[in-house]
Amino acid sequence: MSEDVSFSFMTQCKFGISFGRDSLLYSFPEGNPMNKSRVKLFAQALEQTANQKNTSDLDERIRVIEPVACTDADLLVFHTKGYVELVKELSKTGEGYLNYNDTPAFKGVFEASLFLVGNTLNGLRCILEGRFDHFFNPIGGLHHASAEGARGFCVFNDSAIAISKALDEVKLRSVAYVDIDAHHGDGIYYEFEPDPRVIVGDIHEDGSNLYPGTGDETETGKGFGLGTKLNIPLPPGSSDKEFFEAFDRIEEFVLKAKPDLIFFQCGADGLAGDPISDLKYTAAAHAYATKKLHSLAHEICQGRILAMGGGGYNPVNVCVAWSAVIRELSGMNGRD
Amino acid sequence: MVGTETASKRFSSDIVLRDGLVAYARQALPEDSRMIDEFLKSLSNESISFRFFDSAAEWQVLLRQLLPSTTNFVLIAIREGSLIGHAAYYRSGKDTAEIGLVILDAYQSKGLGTMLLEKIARAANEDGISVFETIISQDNTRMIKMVQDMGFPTSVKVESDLIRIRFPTSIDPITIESFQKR
Repeated sequence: MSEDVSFSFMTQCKFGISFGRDSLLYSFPEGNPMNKSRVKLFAQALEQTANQKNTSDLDERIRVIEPVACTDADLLVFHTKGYVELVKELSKTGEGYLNYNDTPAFKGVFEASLFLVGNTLNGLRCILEGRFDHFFNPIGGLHHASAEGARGFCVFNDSAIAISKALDEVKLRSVAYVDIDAHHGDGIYYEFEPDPRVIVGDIHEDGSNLYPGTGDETETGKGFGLGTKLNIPLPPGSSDKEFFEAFDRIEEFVLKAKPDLIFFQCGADGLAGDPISDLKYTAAAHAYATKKLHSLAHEICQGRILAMGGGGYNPVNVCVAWSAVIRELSGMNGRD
Repeated sequence: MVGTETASKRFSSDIVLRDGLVAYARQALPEDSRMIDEFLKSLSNESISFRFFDSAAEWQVLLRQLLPSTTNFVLIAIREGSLIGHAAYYRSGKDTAEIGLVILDAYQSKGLGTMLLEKIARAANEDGISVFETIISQDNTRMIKMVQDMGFPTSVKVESDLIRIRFPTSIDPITIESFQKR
């Protein structure tokens, strides 16, 4: 691997990354793209960096913290009781489909999901308590799951749970959800379509050739939420140039809304070479988006960014894209 | 809090093939006609023969059978911007429909046909169709095995060198178990 995947600890921001052995539990069987093998290179790079940190005088404001599990009650903030019980039941044997569609169960899927959601919620808590300015849950960002069921290998929608908590329990005025995964974040868009408190900016591959087939530019919210969502579908083959132009629109959109917190789903499946999508970004897209959001967050919402890794099925791409996110959030490259 | 979803999304999903490749399945739309035309052109003679029985028919006649219309339901599988599979049902009576299925040669025997058939059965069931019928050439052993392996309780009738198969569209626990073992 020739790409630079080292992380810097030179930072002015407090930055937490949730990752550990329990992060790898959310893994569909071998042969499924959502298998733990996709994050192995990233895990190695992170471990290497953490070891370096322990033996040197590097800045202590970035911390890799162990995963924490959420509770059943946390899931029920967004998901229906019937669906939570179904996942719990099928998790015992690992047999069956969670939606009779595309998302199979696996043994321990419920427990694995508790850690996945728990990491995102822990990030939210840490940010709101001021322990960290930015937080990254690499295995989070399961943006297809709906309240009633799994979709697209996403069992529970950690972002939707965190957004619901931020708005309804913490009473934030509004939040922004920025999604650069190659797939449209339908589980966020449709669940919060009429909610004006949720500002959505989503860049993804055109839905005619890629799951879930939604996210048309005409989908801008509905009812009270009309005008609070910005979908930017890009044609297959789009490169960094198209992404940069699209992201500038997202930046302007979020700036106008002035949310209290920014959720950032930084899926790595838009990079050239991903086995599922047809986009042709490089990791420069992730660096560009993160740098812009980093600067924006410090300008409008006290630096609060909660990032989640989302999709990405080429291990090298996952490693370089998420490394770019970490480098930018750590402030190594300076802010705009 | 819950918003609306487009109708087509209900039938869209990723399909993981046996070799780990992923295809995207969704309901076909009128604007897919060009892609369907290219798909038809890329089918082997054997696939065309098994799908249409009359491979000598005019191109437009064959194409029309694959395009979505008000009297059929078409599900397509896409990979890397091209069609790799096509499944459809055509209402033939109040609660019956005929089905047609064709998979690009390179993607056969990877579980794609089974998954597409399961999905159109679900769509048909929601549409009030309780029975699927299909006529298969006796030479089309792959398709015969696939229908048998799906676990649907089938009725089979041999007519000359063709086999007429009828099976319900409802997904019972035995059928679900068969899908999981596919």
